[in-house]
Amino acid sequence: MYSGVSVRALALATAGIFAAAGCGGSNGPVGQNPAPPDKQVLRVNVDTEPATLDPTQQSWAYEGAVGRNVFEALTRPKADLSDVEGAAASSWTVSGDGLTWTFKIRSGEKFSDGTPVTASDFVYGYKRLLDPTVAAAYEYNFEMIAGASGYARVDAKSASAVRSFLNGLGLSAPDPQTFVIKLDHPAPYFKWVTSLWVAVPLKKADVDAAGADFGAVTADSAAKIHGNGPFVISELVPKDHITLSPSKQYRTQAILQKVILYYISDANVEFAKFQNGELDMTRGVPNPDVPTVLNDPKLSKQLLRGPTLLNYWINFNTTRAPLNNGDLRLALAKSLDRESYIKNVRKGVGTSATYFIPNGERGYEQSDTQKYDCNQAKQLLAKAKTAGVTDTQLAGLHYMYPASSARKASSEFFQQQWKQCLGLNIIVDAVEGQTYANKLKTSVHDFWIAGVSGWQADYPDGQNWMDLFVTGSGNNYAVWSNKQYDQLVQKADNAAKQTDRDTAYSQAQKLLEQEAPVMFLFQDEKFLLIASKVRGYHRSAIDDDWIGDVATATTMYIAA
Amino acid sequence: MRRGALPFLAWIPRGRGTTLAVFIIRRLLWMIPVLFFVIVITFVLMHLAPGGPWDREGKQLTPQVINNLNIKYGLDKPLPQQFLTYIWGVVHFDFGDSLRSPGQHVSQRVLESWPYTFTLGAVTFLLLVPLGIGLGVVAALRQNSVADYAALGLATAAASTPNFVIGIFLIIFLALGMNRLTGGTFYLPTGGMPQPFNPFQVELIMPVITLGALPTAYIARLTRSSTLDTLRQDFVRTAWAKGLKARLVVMRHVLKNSLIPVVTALGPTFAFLVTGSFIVETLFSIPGIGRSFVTSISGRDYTMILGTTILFAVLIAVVNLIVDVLYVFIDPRVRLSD
Repeated sequence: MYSGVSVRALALATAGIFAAAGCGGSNGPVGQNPAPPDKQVLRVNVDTEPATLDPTQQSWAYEGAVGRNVFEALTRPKADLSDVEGAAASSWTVSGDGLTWTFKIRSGEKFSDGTPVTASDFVYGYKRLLDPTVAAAYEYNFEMIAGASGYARVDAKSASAVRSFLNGLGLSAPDPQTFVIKLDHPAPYFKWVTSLWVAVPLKKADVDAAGADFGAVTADSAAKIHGNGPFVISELVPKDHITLSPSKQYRTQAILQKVILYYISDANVEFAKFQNGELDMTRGVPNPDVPTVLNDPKLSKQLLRGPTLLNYWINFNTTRAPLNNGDLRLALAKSLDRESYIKNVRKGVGTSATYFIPNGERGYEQSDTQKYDCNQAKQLLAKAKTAGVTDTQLAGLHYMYPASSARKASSEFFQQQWKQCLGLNIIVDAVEGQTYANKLKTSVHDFWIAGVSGWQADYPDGQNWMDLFVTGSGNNYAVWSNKQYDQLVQKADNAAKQTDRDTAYSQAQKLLEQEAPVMFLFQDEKFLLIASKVRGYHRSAIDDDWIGDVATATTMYIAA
Repeated sequence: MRRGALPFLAWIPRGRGTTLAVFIIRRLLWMIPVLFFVIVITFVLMHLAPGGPWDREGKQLTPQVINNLNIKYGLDKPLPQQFLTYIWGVVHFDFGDSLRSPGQHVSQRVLESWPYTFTLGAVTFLLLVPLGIGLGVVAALRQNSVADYAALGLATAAASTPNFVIGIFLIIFLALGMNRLTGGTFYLPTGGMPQPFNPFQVELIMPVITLGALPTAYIARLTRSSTLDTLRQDFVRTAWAKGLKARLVVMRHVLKNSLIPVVTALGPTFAFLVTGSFIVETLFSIPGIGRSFVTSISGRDYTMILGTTILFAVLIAVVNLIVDVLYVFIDPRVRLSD
């Protein structure tokens, strides 16, 4: 899910040591003394208004906050993130060659208007996701479906070309309860892909009735969307809020009668609203207020901290001298004291990280390769200089970051660290957000050092992380290319046995840390406030916002 | 201003006999070329700015998705063609779809947020005019007195404190502080605006103060200096010499004349207030147009940028027209023709 890398994620710092990785925060047992129904109102902040209510086009956490409540995918991750469990599907089987996945739709599964959910609604939803005229951002995650790899070559302007592409996809519904997906190649992580919030059943009648306006965030369009999830949109005031109410058709009825989603993008405002009793949950705490919260007797009791699968790093442009020198990159990586960064700049929120796959997910390995060691960094710099890196080149290094006051503090800290250890004077450039995004793109890559970038797991499988740094990946801002890494990742992505996958990912990860196209910085932590009257909230490391793959509003309630 | 430049406007009568109605029609027609150039300039600047609507700092869109998005919104066509298509749409009051919000029309998005911004701006304006002018007049009449220094000091303080400081200060002390102090009996929400077009909601208190501080101070200072100028005029001395009562001198002679520059300033002030403030709207969670405009610029939502700019241009043109018409009633020396 696109998240973490927003300016906000940095501004909203979070702290600490992950004691029990993999199992997140939780506040109170379920079912104890709930308040009467008229008091069952939960007010949360999702940061930004969703751009669309069409789940197939949603790509941000604040959009998934609606989509995940209104729709339900085939599967969902188990609370301990070890595997997926059935959601809209009651069971499934995978053929011996790993290519045919057969899902049985849960009997009694219904849309909010009472019509039963059939396999063809899933076929329709999956096809919309891969429809070039829809141009859904998460299409890429589904290109292992038979025929889908031709997506890029379809002429979106030709209706017949689009139709024949969609009809040729390996999606079928032999009977109303059976949804069959055929893949082009074995992909053991596909089970996770079927749990994504974009892969849901859609009512063709809803889409046909709205046409191009399907999913528009308007007061009247909300009632025209029927999902199979636990909630329906009961009220929508554009740009102000969305109210969700339980769907009468869902198999378990939520205790909450209203969930109001507000769009507050300023962390200080959010914090003030929580203190003033206008919000029941925050997304974080403004960095300067972290000590206040920890020391306040009332606020500290309402604090919820937990690990999150979100890692941050700094990118090196590996195609530009002198950063094409691996020793120089590693020298820069090893000359930054991350512990001091977490303590002083981030006020103790997050953990320093020199690893790629985050703590709390299968494949996490502590690594010392990029660990802070100033003496080794100096030796590496000397080695780089003997290999031809000149002082003039070093004097021309710039660090680029998207302008914001929170990021300014971080950037100046990095600058000072590099100067202190290596004696390098790296010039710091603050760049307007969209310009930064453009310069970072792999097709432009006009920078030396840029940061801070991050990645939040879409699903807890190594593939979601390791594919980032494969040659040609759009998120490989370092434009790093390593044949050995590419081969290892491809092998691991497709291998049938999990142990084979683990070994190959581990090798690839070590290579990545050693080659240092990026320097790992820290793993984020969720550091949020939740009113003491709110109970039954269980979050896992994969969840970003108040609701996620595991955390669900159906278990939450307001205590009397 | 030269009026003969555009031949298609030549049929409008000119000269001393121009009536108010013709003046207004002429000015309204003039808005067409003005708007055209506003669109041209915005269109060019917007496309010159680095990055595009599909660039993002986080997870990148794949090239094939970007390609399909460009086709979906017509951004694959050459720029001149995109421009002509846009102009053709505007002529038919079709401002296109927001690039960042699939399926949503720009006109709808803009009209949704406009009532909030307008309510806040109009309430602020209605309060600041009497307050600003009152403070200015009192200060001028009691020049160098305590009242003068107090009014001037207040105005200077209000003008030099950034609005985000005022806003945060109000939230912390007025909303949070009072709530805590009174144990909840004094409860002021930190923001929001439940009903647009309703000037009587407690939610408006803090944003109105925050938004109005600077313009009130500006109007107060302007009124003060203008009133001081007028007080020194010969006709005021004559009025005093005639033995007129102070109230008559001030109301009939001083105030009427000293308000002319103030009225000139009120036009842009009103336009400034009703086009929204990003900071005030963000601080007080108001779903207004100032916030949406800044967001669409930073997100390079081309159609939203153009649509909002057109609305602002029309607003400013109309406000200026109203000010020009008001002159006629305030200053008999002003004629509507050249």
